[in-house]
Amino acid sequence: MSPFAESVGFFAGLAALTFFFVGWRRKVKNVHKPFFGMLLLLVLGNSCLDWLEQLELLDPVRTDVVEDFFDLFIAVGWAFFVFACCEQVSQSQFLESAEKLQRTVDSLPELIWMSDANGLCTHFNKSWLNFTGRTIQQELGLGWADGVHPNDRDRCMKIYENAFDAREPFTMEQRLHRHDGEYRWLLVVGTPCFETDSKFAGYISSCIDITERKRAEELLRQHDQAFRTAGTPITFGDLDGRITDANEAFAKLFGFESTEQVIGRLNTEFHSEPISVAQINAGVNERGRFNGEITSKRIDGTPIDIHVIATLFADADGRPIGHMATFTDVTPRRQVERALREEEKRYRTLVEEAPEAIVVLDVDEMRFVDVNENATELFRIARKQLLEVGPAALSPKFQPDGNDSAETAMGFVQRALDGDTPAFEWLHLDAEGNEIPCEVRLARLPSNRRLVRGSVTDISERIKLEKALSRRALEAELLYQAVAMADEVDSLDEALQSCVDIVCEMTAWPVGHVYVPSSNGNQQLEPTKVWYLADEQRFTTFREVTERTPFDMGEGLPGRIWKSGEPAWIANVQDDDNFPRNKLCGDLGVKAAFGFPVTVRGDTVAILEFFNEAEVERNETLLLLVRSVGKQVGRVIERKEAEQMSRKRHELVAEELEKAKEALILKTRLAAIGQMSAQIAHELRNPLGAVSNAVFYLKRQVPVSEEKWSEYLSLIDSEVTTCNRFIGDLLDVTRGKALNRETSNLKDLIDRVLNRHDIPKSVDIEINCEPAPFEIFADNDQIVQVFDNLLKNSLDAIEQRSGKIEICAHRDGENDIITFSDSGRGISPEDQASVFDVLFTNKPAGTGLGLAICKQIIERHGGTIELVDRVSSGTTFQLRLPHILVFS
Amino acid sequence: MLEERELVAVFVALAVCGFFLMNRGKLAEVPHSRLLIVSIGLLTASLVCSVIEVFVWEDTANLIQHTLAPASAVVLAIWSWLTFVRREGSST
Repeated sequence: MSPFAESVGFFAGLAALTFFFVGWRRKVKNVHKPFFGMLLLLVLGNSCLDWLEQLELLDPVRTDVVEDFFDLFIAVGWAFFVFACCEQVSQSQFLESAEKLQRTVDSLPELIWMSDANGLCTHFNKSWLNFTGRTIQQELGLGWADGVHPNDRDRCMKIYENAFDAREPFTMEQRLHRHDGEYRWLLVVGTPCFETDSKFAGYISSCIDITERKRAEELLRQHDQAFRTAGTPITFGDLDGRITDANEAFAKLFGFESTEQVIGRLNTEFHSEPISVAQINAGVNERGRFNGEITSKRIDGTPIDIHVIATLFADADGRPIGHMATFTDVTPRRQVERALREEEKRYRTLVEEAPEAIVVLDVDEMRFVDVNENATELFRIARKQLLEVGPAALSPKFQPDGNDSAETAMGFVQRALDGDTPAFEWLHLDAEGNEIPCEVRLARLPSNRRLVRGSVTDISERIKLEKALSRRALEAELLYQAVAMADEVDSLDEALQSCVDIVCEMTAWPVGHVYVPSSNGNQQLEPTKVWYLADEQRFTTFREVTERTPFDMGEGLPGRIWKSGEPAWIANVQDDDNFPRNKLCGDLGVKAAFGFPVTVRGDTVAILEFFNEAEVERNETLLLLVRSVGKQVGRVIERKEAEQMSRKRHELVAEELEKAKEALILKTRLAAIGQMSAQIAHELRNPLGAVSNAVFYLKRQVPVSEEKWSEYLSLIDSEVTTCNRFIGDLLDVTRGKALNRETSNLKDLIDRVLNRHDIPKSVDIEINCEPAPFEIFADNDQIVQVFDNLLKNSLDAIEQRSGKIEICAHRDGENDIITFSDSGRGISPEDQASVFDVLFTNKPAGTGLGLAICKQIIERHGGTIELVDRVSSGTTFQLRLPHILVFS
Repeated sequence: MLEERELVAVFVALAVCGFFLMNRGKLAEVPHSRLLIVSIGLLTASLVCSVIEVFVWEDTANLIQHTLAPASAVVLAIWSWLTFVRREGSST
């Protein structure tokens, strides 16, 4: 064996050792220098032994043993060195990792702190320091606790201490003061750190700002609370339609007791219409949203109408994961809508079936927005076209009254908008331009738009009927007025005047006049003074000429009416050849004329003619009317005449009745008086007879020288005579003697009466009887009694006993008229009516029976006696006795 | 004649090699660790040859043993020079 190799080994070991010592102070990572130096020494020693052995400087046997030990030591040295290096590497790696960790920790956005095994914080990363705005010196140890919110500090310290004692991880939430003064929520996650030998090294904790998360959580909690307590039913479901969550409102809506009973069910269980569910699912899954109404069912099976809004929601990656749906119970609304639809249908039917045309006008656009079938028929325009126009297109520019259609219509529409319901007549035009008189009623429709409903009724027929009715009413009024006024008047002239007035006023013709047939039978019509002149001054000449113009039958307007007995009409008298007054009418501007007769019992009693300044075509209706008026007026006149005759007869009968009544009263009275008088006469006459006899005896016994005696006895005798005569008169009145007629000369009877009275010479008696002899056929005694009473009254009436009494008789037809006149004081007017009453007298010594007896006697002869009113003083009684020829 | 100490040394060397190989990732952090593994490998081979020479090829094995041992020392010297003497940034 060459010693070269050994020497190389020796020197190599020496060099290695030299290099080692040269670089001893250099920092060499991962190399355990002591073990390496020791290894080098062993290698150098072993090499040195080998080299010395090769140089044979040492004993090989001994050297081998040492070398073997050196080899073993070198191997062990390598082992130590390698282990030491490995440890060095591990430690170095740990330190590097720690540094790296610290750098990493400092660069992390999370807030990280680390503590040692005593619980004191040893490090805070930059994020923490930036967050708190404090220095690491302020935070080290327990300085960090100053930034914890006071309300959280004790709780956090307790958690930390408990975890620290247990060496367990901990998690807590705390509020930490940020540099800007705001406390922010942090999620603190602490993890215990152990060294390689499981020795507790402290805690490392990361803090995450969860303020936003806390807010989000709070917001989520609020949302969840809102979801749970929301009045709107809400559900969440998966894509298969299975409900994953629902609120109480939904459970209540569908009749569940709790939401747990709802969760997990398929939405198909709630819907009675599968197609609706399919629509919802399709809408949600394909379009991401469904908004509509469907009919569902409750748990008890009752239907419910709901409005569903379902939307799809997705996860963070945008993948759809389920849907959310809100439900609104629209059952009441649907019921109302159904009711409204029914009502609308009903009203639509009403509108469509209404007899009038109904249109709905949009005032803002001034066009129709709805019309019924009648409207299309009325305006003869299709519905579609009608809905494109407004009322202006269906109206003339001006209404019949001259008002502008558009302005007038807007006025009515505005009234309707103001709440009024105007009704008015309107002239419409149909599609062909034909005028349609209509009655329109407007009313505003309840709407947020300005809509006005108009009901339009075609009043063409009504107007015709109204005109006809108006004409009939005019006729009736004319007839009524004419007849009524004719009925109120008492004469034909008044009736004709009324008729002319009424016809002129009702027809507005300015001139009316009446002709009547001549009373002398010359077949002419004579003008009357009966006129109606609207303008008297203007028609003065016409009046004067007409009142001088008679007409023959067939001549002129009155003549031809008289001849035909029918009304006549002349449209323009100036063109009429048979109108004598046409020139005058031409001067006055009178043109039209008509007339009609008034007939009574078939006879024309008057012709009424009327004139107008305008030319008026023949009006058959008016002619028929005035013909009726003429007949009616004639009938009224006829009836009036009949009534007058009836009234006269009635008056006569009443008068007769009154007379009979008076006679009956008189007779009754006289009968009573007669009975009483008979008794009185019977009772008085005997004593009076005795008195009379006694007076006669005494007159014979009393001497003539006793003048007083003679005078008183004569007085007694005279009064007794008076009493006897009164009694006799009374009996005459009451008994009513039977007549014993005979023919006598009136003059003889008058003389007989004159002889009974001592007539003073101062009273002239004049008797005139023609013819002479003036014979009468009467009861002479009773007639004499009448003359006696009348003569006595005349003598009593003549004052101063001087005067004249005139007795006259003459024959008037079949009556003998005998008058007794005196020049006395006469009878006052108030007593004249009662002079023939029984027991009426104005004389102090009168009995009130004389004239009553006279009247009774004359009436018994069939005549009358009456007091003749005289202009001068005095009294005249006139006796009227029927002259009766008596043939022997 | 095979000595027990030689076997122990071989086993120790082999164990070191095995450990080295097992922790070669970590030991790679040691500068020029390849030279160290070469060195320990040469040493281990030398020790193995010292055992082999007892049974076969006594001379050859001995020669190899005495050659590899200095070689291991040379490699170790080189590593020492590279690690402790040579400046960083100079050529390798």
